[in-house]
Formats: sequence, structure tokens, C-alpha cells
Amino acid sequence: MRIQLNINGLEKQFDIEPGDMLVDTLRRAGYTEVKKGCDTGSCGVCTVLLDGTPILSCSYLSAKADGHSITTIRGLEKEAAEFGEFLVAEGADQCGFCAPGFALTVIAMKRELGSPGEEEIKHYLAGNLCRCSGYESQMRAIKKYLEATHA
Amino acid sequence: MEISTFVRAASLDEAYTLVHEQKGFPVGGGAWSRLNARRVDLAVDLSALGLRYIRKKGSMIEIGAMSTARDIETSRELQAAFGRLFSDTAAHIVGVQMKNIVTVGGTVAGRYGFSDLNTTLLATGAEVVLYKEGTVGFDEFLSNRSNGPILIEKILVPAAGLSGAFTTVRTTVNDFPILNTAAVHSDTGWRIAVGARPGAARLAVEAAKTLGAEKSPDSLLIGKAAEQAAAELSFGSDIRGSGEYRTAVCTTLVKRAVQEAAQ
Amino acid sequence: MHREFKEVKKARGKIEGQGLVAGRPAYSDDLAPRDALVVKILRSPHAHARIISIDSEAAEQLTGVACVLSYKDVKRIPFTRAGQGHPEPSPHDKFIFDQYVRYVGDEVAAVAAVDEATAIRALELIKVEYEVLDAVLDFEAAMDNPTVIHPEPEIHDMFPIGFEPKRNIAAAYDMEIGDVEKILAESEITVKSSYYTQAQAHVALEPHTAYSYLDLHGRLNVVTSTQNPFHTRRLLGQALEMPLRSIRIRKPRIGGGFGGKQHVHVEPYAALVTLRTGKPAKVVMTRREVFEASFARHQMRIDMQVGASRDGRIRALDMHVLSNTGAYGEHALTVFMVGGSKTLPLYNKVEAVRFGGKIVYTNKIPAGAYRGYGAIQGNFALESAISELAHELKMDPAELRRKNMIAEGETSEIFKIMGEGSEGVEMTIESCKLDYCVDRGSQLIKWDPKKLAVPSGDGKIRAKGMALAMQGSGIPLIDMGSAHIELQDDGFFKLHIGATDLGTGSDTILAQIAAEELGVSSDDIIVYASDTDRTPYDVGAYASSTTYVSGNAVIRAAKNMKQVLRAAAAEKFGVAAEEVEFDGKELRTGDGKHSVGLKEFSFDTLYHEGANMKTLAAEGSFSGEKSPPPYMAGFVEIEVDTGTGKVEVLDYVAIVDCGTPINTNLAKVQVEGGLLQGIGMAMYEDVQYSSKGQMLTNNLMHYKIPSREDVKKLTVELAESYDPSGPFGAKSVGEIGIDTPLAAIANAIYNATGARIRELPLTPPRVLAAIKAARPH
Repeated sequence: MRIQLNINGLEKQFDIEPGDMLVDTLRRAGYTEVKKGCDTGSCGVCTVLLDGTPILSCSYLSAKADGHSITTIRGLEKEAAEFGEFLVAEGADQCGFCAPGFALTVIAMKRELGSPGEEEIKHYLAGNLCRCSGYESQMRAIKKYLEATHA
Repeated sequence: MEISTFVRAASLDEAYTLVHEQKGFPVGGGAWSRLNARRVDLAVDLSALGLRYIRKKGSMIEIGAMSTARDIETSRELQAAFGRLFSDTAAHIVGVQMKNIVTVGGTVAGRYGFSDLNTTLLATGAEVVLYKEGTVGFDEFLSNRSNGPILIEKILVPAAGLSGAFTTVRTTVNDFPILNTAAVHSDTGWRIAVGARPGAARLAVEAAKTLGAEKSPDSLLIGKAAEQAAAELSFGSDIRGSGEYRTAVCTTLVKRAVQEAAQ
Repeated sequence: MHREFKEVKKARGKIEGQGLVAGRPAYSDDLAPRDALVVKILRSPHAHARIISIDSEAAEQLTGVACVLSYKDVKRIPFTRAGQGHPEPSPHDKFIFDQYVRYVGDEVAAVAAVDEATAIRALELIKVEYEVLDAVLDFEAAMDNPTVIHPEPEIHDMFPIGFEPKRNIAAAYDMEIGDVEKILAESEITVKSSYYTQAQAHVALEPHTAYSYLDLHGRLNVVTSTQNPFHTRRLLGQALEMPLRSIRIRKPRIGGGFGGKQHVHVEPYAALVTLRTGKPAKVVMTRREVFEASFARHQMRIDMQVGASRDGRIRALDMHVLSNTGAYGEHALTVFMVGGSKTLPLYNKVEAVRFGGKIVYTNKIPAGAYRGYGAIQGNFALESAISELAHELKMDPAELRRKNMIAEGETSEIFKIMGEGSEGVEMTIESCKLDYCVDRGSQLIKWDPKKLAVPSGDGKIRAKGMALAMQGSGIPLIDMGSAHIELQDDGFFKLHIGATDLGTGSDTILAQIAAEELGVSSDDIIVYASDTDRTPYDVGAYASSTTYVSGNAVIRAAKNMKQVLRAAAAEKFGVAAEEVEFDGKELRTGDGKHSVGLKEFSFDTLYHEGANMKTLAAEGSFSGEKSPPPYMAGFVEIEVDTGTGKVEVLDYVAIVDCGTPINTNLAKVQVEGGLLQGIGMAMYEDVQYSSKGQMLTNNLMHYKIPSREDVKKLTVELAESYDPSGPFGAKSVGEIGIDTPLAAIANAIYNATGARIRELPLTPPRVLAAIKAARPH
């Protein structure tokens, strides 16, 4: 079947099987920044924004997304680079496999919660696993980022 | 998931026809159902039916079937009526991204043993409104093992004068529960639900009777009721824990849920 | 010694960081050609079986299927997949495809098709008839079991390792210093306990991936998510009977390794398809395959005996290990040996010490390399036993350790006797800040031996526990790394290294090291790594070797580069080389008569000097003659809920002596990441099987790694330390962080409840049962 998605501001059409998951449709179309980590919706590396809301693209049917807008980290280049600076400054950018999905969720969190405290941050990002960093350096980066960018 | 045909229903009537007459499989969020690696001939998407709402109607709160777990976690209506009960319940579901996909209808229809939400809904005395097929009490709905076609429109939760609490034990914070309980007090007395047994949630009826009508029973009575709950329900073993463990921990969790709800 | 560094000990950002956050294509599956054939592997549903027949006709006929391969298509050559130096200490007991399958997940056949859906459909059409054999699933019943997992005659070891496959023994080892039985008999207090550690999954977020193609020269190119490109080239060449010059291995960015990718994994299957079809091919493991069919940590039973005098002197240590290597013997002997060699020397003043045991085969997932590499398992046993001893002596566990632990300037005879697979090297400890680590850690956690447990209400108890750890820095005389440096026009340098950045930041820190030695900025160094065609040799990222071994190689190369620069400038100036100085910016004579800026000099040598034009380059290689251990003291505060058995980690304090941290941020993050991975093994992670040998915990819903809500606080500090043999005083930091949480948390639970738990993980059911058993009736 054919679906239409607005991806990072561009209207695009896709030929899909009805059972295709969004992550596969996106990766096949070259959006390799959306990663596949676990197949069960447990790790968060496949996170994209659907109409601005963070979802797991591995657990979302492409057909359900028909007519909606998708944002990957590539669609938020400026914000990603801005947050990325803080990650790099802490050494929190390790293997980087969790980074695009994680950065996207942090940006979504900032938009949704404004200035969350540590517990709120941990809770919002609980679905973004990281095996490399132990999470502490990421938290240091997030706190500094929120403080620096709080208008 | 293999799907032959995918249809986004334009109306509840259309959805009903597809589900009841053409063996259509209703797709809520789609997150849990795909894990069963099913082959589905006809998938029916319910996202265009305006079923995503949480609203107060008289003494009830209506939760549309397409409300997400995140809607539940952040709902002002539910917080006003129940305090932290629903946000505590939804807190453990994987993460914000999964909560934005998982729907109440999908969770209820799945009758999943691992569900935290089903345990709390059972304890509130909620009712399941099946489109064109009537209203079913939550207890009856969960216990019914039939696999016949169902189309859930909304869940009705009595919201007047309720006080409830949710307790659980799990390994990591967002793992499936090893066990969960919810205790809710209303003017008709107590309801105590225990889920992830590992089976789906059930009411501890005798334990609730023991507590009586008081909102703040004394601690001896709470202890007795908690032990009764562990004795009257059945528990099994899986990779997360044994039946013995679940039985032991049920007492502790029920006691704490009642104590918290009693405050 | 403690000079001011310009580049080293700075928190430089990783060079690829922003690119990865932005999601630029970087990992194997991002880079694979769009038209690569997708290869799917048919895996055994049985723990132990003989393949009677494979009928792949229907699969081959399916439109879009390029080929179906099985044991019928590959020469049967035994090899090892273990990413280790030659001669490998692991038995050569694995075949690309065999007529026997030895665990649920073992490779049976491979399908290559135009897309994933077709490949999966084709898999379902392959008909395999199995003769199901008895499976050996209990590692304590494996030795001399009537069912022999490896009866085949072609398998062999590379040198004696105690390989007795007919007894299901993959390797064995024993050593004794002094007379342990005698000293134990004389000891006033003895502790005798057995400890069990479970198999653990690495859960690197990027699943194992490789793609291959034939290049313009007809050579096999493989791009793979690997920790050891050069070993993979050699092992693949052996398994496919191809000369090494016909193979190129490249590591792009990889999404984590932790030892799980210190093996040959899916590369042979991609390679076979490419060789058969001439087309690019890729294999991307699903998460389920990574769980079931990559590698796991060695499960162990460790029997400890400790003998001490009543005044707290530890006199004898005995560690006996039974290790489960699963269906194949990758890393069997070496992980086992590290269990003793990187734990027992912590208490080097004993009069007698003994270590030994066996590693057995079972019909379970092959165990392999995993961060800690035996030291973490050994640490659980040793550091639990030491705390058990402290309790027997009614002594503060910290004080007992202070009294007995190794100190700077000392040695242990174990260093000489136990290497990796063979003998080790004598070594005096030139840097050891354990005393500082214990004191500082005690201070931060507020360690009070009289108040190690405090009730906090509602059946909950807060308690503290501790453990020490050591590791190594590369494998002496076995690990080798090399570096090439070349001056470029515009005055910057190319640094080519074989070293393998797993995301750890080795590309960045090796540039820092080069820059420090050359006297330039890290910005003047561009790095290219991990390509068997283009970069010099390096064993790869494991054994905490990259900073120490590859770093020392980089220093040598940089030193040589400076000589080359001075000699070339001398030629230009018409003076002797000794008269030329280089300060990173300028080459000049001491008397100031001649000088040239580096940048200008680079143009001169490459563009302007006619017959004297040349490329200025230098090389450096290093293999260590010692392996100076990093050390750490770990202190944990937990809260135990005696009503549910649930344990919360409130704070974990880690004070680490890693020598000079080349990059302060990256060193700290290695410890923090290691701690979480150790806490995961201590508390949550458990590879579980059905009675038929099927892995039940084969996805992330059921196998839980810590999320960011699970640990309240980590406090990591690096001790001031400097090891003269290390690059600018550095030792290593990649593994040390993972070792202590197992014993520290078990010790804290004991302090809280009196329940001594000697099995992992410390899940609520296990803890509650132990609490109940420990309660006086």
C-alpha cells in the first residue's frame, strides 16, 4: 500500500507492506539515523517524533503513521548540535548508537517539561537505554544544557 | 507482524462491522500485539475515531479506548479524582515513547498479566464499554477467556469519593512487574486487586470484606486482610519469580497499598 | 614526573561525537551497499543434534534467493573465533557449518536474498531433519558426562591447555605457591565457601553486523562491527583457506563491544555469500540472535578457602574454579586464568596461594570475552570471602583489607606464574594507590564499621558494603600495537593506528598522546584507524590494552617523528641533526642562525625542494614487558526492603587508580559505565534457559539492563597516580570499573540482614529467600 509521510518537513510517499514497522520504512528510505537495537520496544534507539511526540518507530506500524509528520534527528540539526556540544563536553558521547534517539527525546522533553528536575529527567528518559556511559555523564550534560538554553 | 490488509476505520460503525463481521483485528497502539508475531488478514486502525479522551461525566470518568498510557500518566482529571494512583500505575511502562503508543483499549483487550493498568482499573471498579455490545464489569471482562471479536469504545471509572494506591515489586524500574497490587476505597467499601500473578489481575474479595467499610482500618485488620489476599488468590512461577515468592510478597504489597490508600 | 601536560589529562571532546549525535551514517548497517544481498541464518532449535539431511531446494527456487549454503558448501576446517593473538590459547573447535549442532542457535544454513522478507521466507522453506541427541545443560554435570559434545577428531589446541574434549573439558590449569593445605591447617580462622556467578549478556546496543564485497582487485573486503580487525583477518583467512593478502577488514564506528565483539561472529557468512555470488552481502543480527547466538559471559562456580591468623593476617588463599564455556571454547582458558591472576595478587602477603580448576563444555551459548574477563567473577568470590573473614574475625572489613592488600613497590609471585594461557612476567608494582582509594572511598561513603546498617522504617534497612579490585593493562609480550605518523602539507600530521575505538574514544586519546609527545595541538593530528589495508598492526581493543600498549606505540612513533623532522631540517640547514631543536611550532638551531616554521617546512619538503622532496614519516611499535594493574576501591550504600527483597543502590563510590588519565572525562565515563554494567550483573541480569536448553531471556523485555532510574547516584574519582612504564604515566581504565559491585552489594546485603548470598543476580526473590533463611526462628 502507499502512504504519505511528512519527514523532517518534506512530503514523501512510500510503498509499504501493511505490516511494516516505521523503523524499517525509514531506514530503507535512507534515514539511517533511526537505529534498530532490540525489536521489542525496550531500548529507545529507534525513537522518532510523531507529530512532535516521541514514539518508538520499531513498535509503530508505518500504515498508522500515514498522513502524519515524522521528525528524525536530522530534522533538528541545530538543536542536535546545540545539545551535542554538551554531550561531547562531558565525554558522554561514547559509542553513539543511543545518541540520535536519546538527543531527540531530550529535545522533546525540553519542549514538553521546560525545566525538569533530576528525577523528572530520569523518568522522562527512562526508555532510552545506554550501555556505555552509566548515564551519569549524560545527566551532567542535560543539566548544563537545560540551564544554558533556558530562555 | 504480517498484515494482508490495513484499513483506517472512518467511523465506529465501520470499525464494528470490520471487527465483528470480517474478523478484523483492532489495532490500538500496535506495540504489544505485534510481539505475538501474528499473521493478521485484516487490521483495523482505530486512530481516526475520536476515541482519545479522558473526561469527567457526572460521577464517572470516561477514558476513550485510544487514550495512551502517557495520557493516563499525565491526566489532570485522573489526578484530581485519584491523586497519584494512575500516575504511579503508568510510571513503570518502559518509557515515555512506549507510553505514547500503548493504548488503554489495547491493554484492556489484551488482558495481559503483566499489565499494571489492568490491576488498577480492576480495583477502581471500572467498566468496559463495548461498542454496540453493552457494558461489562472489569472483573468479568478480565476473567473471560473468550477470543471472540471485541471493539472497546471506552472505560468508565467511578470517580466520586475514591482513594487508592498502587504498589509493585520489579527488578529494574521499568521491567514487567513480578507482582502488582492496587487498593481502592469508595463508599461501597474496599476493592483489592492483585496482578502479574503472573496471570491477569483478580480481586481479593475476602480480603476486601475483612477490611469492612472504614477508610482507615487499624493496622491489625490491614495485616489480616493482606494475609487473606495472599491466601485466597493463586500464584504461579515464571522467570521473574516463583509462586512462593509472589505469595509472600502479596501480603507486603497489599498491606502497603491499603495503608497508603487509607491516608 | 608530575609535569604540566598540554594535551594529556585534558577533557578533550571526542572527534566523532557531534557526527554521531547528528546521526550521520557511521555503523556497518548504515554503510552497507543498498543492493547488498541480505543473509539470514537458519539456527538449530535443538541444544544438541546431528543433521541427518538438509533439503534447501524449495528455498533455492524462491524468487529473489541468490543461494543457500550449509555444511555441504564449505570445507570443514576447525578454527577458533576467539579474537586473541597467535597462537590462540583457545581450542580450534568450531566450524563455519558442521553436521552437528551444539546449542540452540548454532548455525545450520545461510540464505542470501534480495531483501530481508524474502530471506526470512526462504529460511522457513529449508527442511532439516535432525537426530536429537542428549544435551548437557548443567555445567556441574558436564565433566565426564556420557554425552560428549566434541567427539570429532579434527579439533585441536594450539599448545597444551589441558584440552580433553572426550571428558567435555575445554581447558584446565593448576598452580600453587607454598603449601596451602598446611597453612590452612595452621590458620586460626578459616573461611570456606562456594560462589556462583551467572552468564551475562553484553547488550551492546548495536547488534553484530558485517557486510562484504569484492573490490576492484577482486579482494574480499569485510566491514564489520569488531574489536579485533587484524585477528579477524587471520582467523577468517584460516577458516576460508584464503591468503591474508586477499582479505581486507575494516572497522567503522561500532555501537559498543564490551568483549562481545572480540570474536569472529557473522563475518564468515557474509564472506561466503560474497565469494559464492560475487555480490555484496550483509548479515545483521536481530537482538534475539545476539542473545541466543553470539556470546555470553562464562558462568562459574568458585570454591574459596581463606586462612588467617586471629590478628587479621591473611595467610592462605585457595581459589578453585569450574567455568562453563558453552558449546565452543573461545576464551575458555584465558578468562578462567584471569579469574585468579587479576584478583589473588590483591593480597600478596599470603604464605601460600593456590589456583586451579577446569573449563567445561555444555550445550549452551558459547561463552567468550566480556569486560572483566574472569576478574569480575573471581572478585565476587574473593571479596565476598574476605568480608566473610572480617565477620569471623569481628574486624572492620576495610581495616582487614588495609592490613593485607598490596602496596606500591611490592610484588606477587603470581605475576610471574600466571599469564594468559601460559606463563606471565615478573613485575614490581610501581604505582598503587589502593591505600588512598580505600581512605577516600571510606570518607565519601561515610564508612563507620560500627554503623554499617541502619533501619530506615517500614521494614527497610540501609547498609554499606565494599570491595577492592585490580585488573591489567594489556597482556605483556603478547599484545602489540603500532602507529604511523606522517607530516602533511599545511603542517598537520596523519596518525594511522591499528587500535580499535569501540566508542571508548581511543582515536581521540591516542591523538592526544601523539600531540603531547610532538608538542603540537590535538587539532593538528588527524586519525585513521582499524583498517587492515591502511593502518599498521594492532591486536585490537581488549585486555585494557589500548591506552597502555597502543599509547606507548604512539609515543615511540612520535619520538621517531621528531628525530625525522630534526634530521630533515638539519639537512636543509646544512648542520648536524643534534644541533636542531623542535618545539612543536618551529625547527631551529640552538644558536638561532637557522629556523623554519613547521607549516612552511611541510610545504618545502613536499612541494619545493626538487630532488630532496620527501614524505617525512615515522613508525613506532610496542609490546609491554609488564601489565601494571589499575586498582580501585568500591563502596556501596543500599537500601534493602525486607518485605519484598528489593535492593536499591543509593550511592556507589568508586575511587580508581588508573595512572594518568589521558582524558579525564573519558576515563571517568569508562568507570561509570563499567559500574552500571557490574551493578547490572550483580542485581538484574540473568541468562536463563528452559529445560531443553532454549534461552528464555532472549530479548530486552525479559533480560533487564539497568535504566537510568535504577541507580540513584554514582560518585567516581580518579586517584593521583603515575606509572613510569605507561604512556605519560597511564595504566588502563576500560575494565576496572566493572569488577567490584558484585561483592560490594552482596557484602552490604549481609551487613543489612545477616543473609550471606553467594549466587547472582541479587533479585528480590533471591534476596527475600535469603533473608528468611537467615532469620533466627
